Amino acid sequence: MATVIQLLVYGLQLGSIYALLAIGYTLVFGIIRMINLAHGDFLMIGCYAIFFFVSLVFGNMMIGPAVAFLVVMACSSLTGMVGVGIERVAYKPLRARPKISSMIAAMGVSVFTQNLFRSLPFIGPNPKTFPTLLKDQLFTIGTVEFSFLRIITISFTIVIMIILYFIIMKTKIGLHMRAVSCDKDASALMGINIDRVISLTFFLGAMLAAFSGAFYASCYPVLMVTMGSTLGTKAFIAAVIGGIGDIRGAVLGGIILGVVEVGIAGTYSEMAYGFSFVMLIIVLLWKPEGLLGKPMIEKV
Amino acid sequence: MKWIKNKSEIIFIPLLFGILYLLQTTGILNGYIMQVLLLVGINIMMTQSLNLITGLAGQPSLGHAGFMSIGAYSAASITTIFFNVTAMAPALQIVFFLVATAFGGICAALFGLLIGIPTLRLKGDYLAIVTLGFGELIRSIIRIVPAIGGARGLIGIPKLAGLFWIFLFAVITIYVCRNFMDSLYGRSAIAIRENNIAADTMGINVSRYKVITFVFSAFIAGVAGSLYAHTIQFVQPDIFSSIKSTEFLVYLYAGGVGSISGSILGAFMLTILPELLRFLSTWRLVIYGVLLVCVILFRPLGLFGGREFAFLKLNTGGIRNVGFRSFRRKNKDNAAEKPVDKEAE
Amino acid sequence: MWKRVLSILLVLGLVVGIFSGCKSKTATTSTLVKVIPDEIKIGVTGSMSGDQAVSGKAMTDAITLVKQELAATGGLDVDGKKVKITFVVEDCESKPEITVNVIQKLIQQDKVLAIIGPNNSSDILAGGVIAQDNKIPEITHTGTNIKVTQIGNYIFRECYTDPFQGTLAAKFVAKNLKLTKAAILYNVADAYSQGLHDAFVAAAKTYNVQIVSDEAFSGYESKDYTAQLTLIKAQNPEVLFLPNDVNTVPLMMQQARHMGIKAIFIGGDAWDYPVLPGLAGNDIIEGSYYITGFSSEVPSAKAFSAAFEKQTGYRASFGSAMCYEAAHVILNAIQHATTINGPGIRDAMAATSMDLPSGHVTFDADRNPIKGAVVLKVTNGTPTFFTAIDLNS
Repeated sequence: MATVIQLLVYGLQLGSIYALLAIGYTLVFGIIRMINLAHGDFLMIGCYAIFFFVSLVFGNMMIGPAVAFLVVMACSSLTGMVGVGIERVAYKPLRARPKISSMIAAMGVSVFTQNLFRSLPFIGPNPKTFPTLLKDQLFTIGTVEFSFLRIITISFTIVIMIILYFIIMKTKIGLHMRAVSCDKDASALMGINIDRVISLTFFLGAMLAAFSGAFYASCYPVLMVTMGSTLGTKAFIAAVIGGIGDIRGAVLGGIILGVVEVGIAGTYSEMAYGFSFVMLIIVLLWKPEGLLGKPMIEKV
Repeated sequence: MKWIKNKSEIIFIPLLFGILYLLQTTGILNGYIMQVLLLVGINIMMTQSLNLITGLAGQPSLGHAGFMSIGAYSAASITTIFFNVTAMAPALQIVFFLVATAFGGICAALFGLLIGIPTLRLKGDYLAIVTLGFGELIRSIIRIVPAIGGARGLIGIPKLAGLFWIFLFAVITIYVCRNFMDSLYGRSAIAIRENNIAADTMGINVSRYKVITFVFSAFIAGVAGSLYAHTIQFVQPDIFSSIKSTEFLVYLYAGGVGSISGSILGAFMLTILPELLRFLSTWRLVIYGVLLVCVILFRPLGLFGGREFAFLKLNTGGIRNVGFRSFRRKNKDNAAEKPVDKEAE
Repeated sequence: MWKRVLSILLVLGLVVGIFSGCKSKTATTSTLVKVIPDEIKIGVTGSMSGDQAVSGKAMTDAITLVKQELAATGGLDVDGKKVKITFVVEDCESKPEITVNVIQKLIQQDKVLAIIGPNNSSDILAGGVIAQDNKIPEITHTGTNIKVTQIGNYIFRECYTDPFQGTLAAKFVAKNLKLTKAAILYNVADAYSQGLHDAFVAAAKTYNVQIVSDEAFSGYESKDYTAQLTLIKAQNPEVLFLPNDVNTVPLMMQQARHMGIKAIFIGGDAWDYPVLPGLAGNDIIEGSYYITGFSSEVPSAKAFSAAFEKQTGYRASFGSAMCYEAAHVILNAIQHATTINGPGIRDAMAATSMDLPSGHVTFDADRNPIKGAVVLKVTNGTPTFFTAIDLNS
């Protein structure tokens, strides 16, 4: 029984990382109906940015939590800008075209980013160690072990979800985002600056990806250029399972995926990697719009 | 003599084969070049297959390497695991090879049916997501099945697919796809691609034709997989990863999505390119990424502009016909109407 | 219309020309008298780019050292004549399909007489067939999969095999560490990891080591082993065998130690890269052991290690040592061959009996080298020689 609870805790910890990344996917999809397959690479860019920042500026010094937080915020904002840049270059011209084109363009961006980072000698194919941003502490309640770092991950995910919900529901810019997601052309007619809204969406999405990357890399501190692609796929599955377009759905999907994955790894680990895809197919067959999603009505 | 002019490909294609065969036996084209050309043939088949579902029907399939792997493994299990074909007489070998290839294609088609039926019923881009997952799922499953070699892979597959078979199958595939495109199925697929609600309204059973196209495409991929296995003589699950599926997608889009000739040229060009640009190693993949994005942005019809070879005598699709003879004269009516300059996606 | 035909033929001709334009001076083929050419080409292929580029780097380091040695003597001395040896290095990108093309190119275009590599067993399983069919000997320096030399009599191996390693690991636990409770965490989707696991489990029975926990994960993509490690921890193993690659072993060690697993970590030759202690953390990897085929501290390796460190600035690893040895096996074979061609060099290689950094090397009937292994212990972030180990001792 204690093992089950322990596994559940680990699943929650893993799931919150997926959730953070899935929020970024869902945000972009909800506003502009585009599946950004390069999202996982934003995570990778964010992690490497933090790595280089810390090694160049701080060297081997230990940095306290406040400074670490600032560094993460700074690098996430940087990744956000990169996201906006990519959107401007690769996705903006494809807005009028069918969604497939943007999906393929996103694949192209993903291939480009991963291999660019792999070919640059100072980043290179060799794995790098992520700097310790926060000293981890373990504590046990009963027989179940918790990790301070992962508790922070979970809490941050919830906090970010609340903040985002607040932004989207209560602020003016959130209103604009909701309008654009409802009907792009009508919003433009109403005087909303579509470009700015979309850029902001990408900025937020990429920033969240970098954030989740910081947490991920703190828990699993080996940096590789391919780390984004697997995570991106998993987060995408999480977003689809929970209901793509809905932030709460992304969080729910992420947690479900994390818990199931850890559970399977503990029982029938050979299929752990493939099982997330099985779950995806099952959800798509049973409820294609996702657990929390609303069925999309296609208007003629 | 007029029939020769109209059906000149009857002469040209065997002539091309004859030239290649001669060059191979005299050793002017050495084993290395022949190997690359064989891979070109296989990639042409795979790109054609991808073109059917992604180009014609407009449903991107991001896991096509999965079907290739099913075809490769099913065929290889017949020739290597169940029967020891290497030890048989040449005539019997050919029989087994053809049976195995057909079996590979059928297995892949079955899987296509399995995935297609539930997924293609849905409206929207779910096929992309599901095929992405399916490709990886197949790879995960194959990795843990020791009977077919598991992660170690299957070695010792007999080399039964040489120049003749690959050339033959490639030509057959091109013509079959051409016929598919010109037929009821192809035109329904294109209609579905352009506007599936309008197609539905016009009485086309959208799900049915999507599934038919998908299964057919999977069959061809399975056959290509079998040929691959019998050329490289070794299969391993990691060969058929999502990277390979992405590569086929790049070949298709670079050549011209929706166009048969585009698929041929894209596959040809981009299979040879890594060998010519050997010194670039990983930068080559960076270039592929840039190529994909640029093609989508600036030349959505592909580098060859959606044109088709005249010898294919395609009545559907294609913007203009280029080729050996001016087929334009015969098809003046079709060519006369100004094509709508939308992307053929 | 004929213009079109002509242009297409020209394009075809251009393509063919580009390919065939890469020919260069060739070595003579079989004759009865030992004709010694002026230049001999040896192909070198490995993962120069991609995730396993560390292996490729180890290869190129070794080849550079060999080139320096040859330059110092003015070339290879074959029966009194100085022969120029050219190494043609190609990247096979850890992909079997590309390896097939590379081996074809090396044999057909560059006309090499022998090939070193690739480092990856899957790649050599694909490409070895080509070398075998074309009668060009190929020697892999780190391809440990047992099936590699079964391709044919032209395929050699300079390192030990996976079953050998796995068995020795179990023997080490029983005889040297004198412990009895072992747990394993291995990758079921990787042939290498699976091979070591199977051998370890089988040998554990012979050496009376109890496998208290046998956990697997599928694929190096997953980085979270907490589930498996939780189950392992519950069984209280004394030793944890981690036959996995250098990118994921650090994570396993960190997660295990964080959970409070106190078992000693044991690994295989995939651990032997300079980056490993840094990635894992010196305090975490402290006191771990791994089996490899080369140690720079044994007497036979002193000269090589010193020269290597002088050239590169870091310690020689298993990969570079084996590549160096493979190169010397070929050079030695050229000197002793009765005819300088593929089959002649192959026969000379099979009859090799020479002293190399890892000891005295001879090949058995299956073209596997007859030699033992060493165990290195990681102390203070540096792997140091702990003991030599062999099946019969």
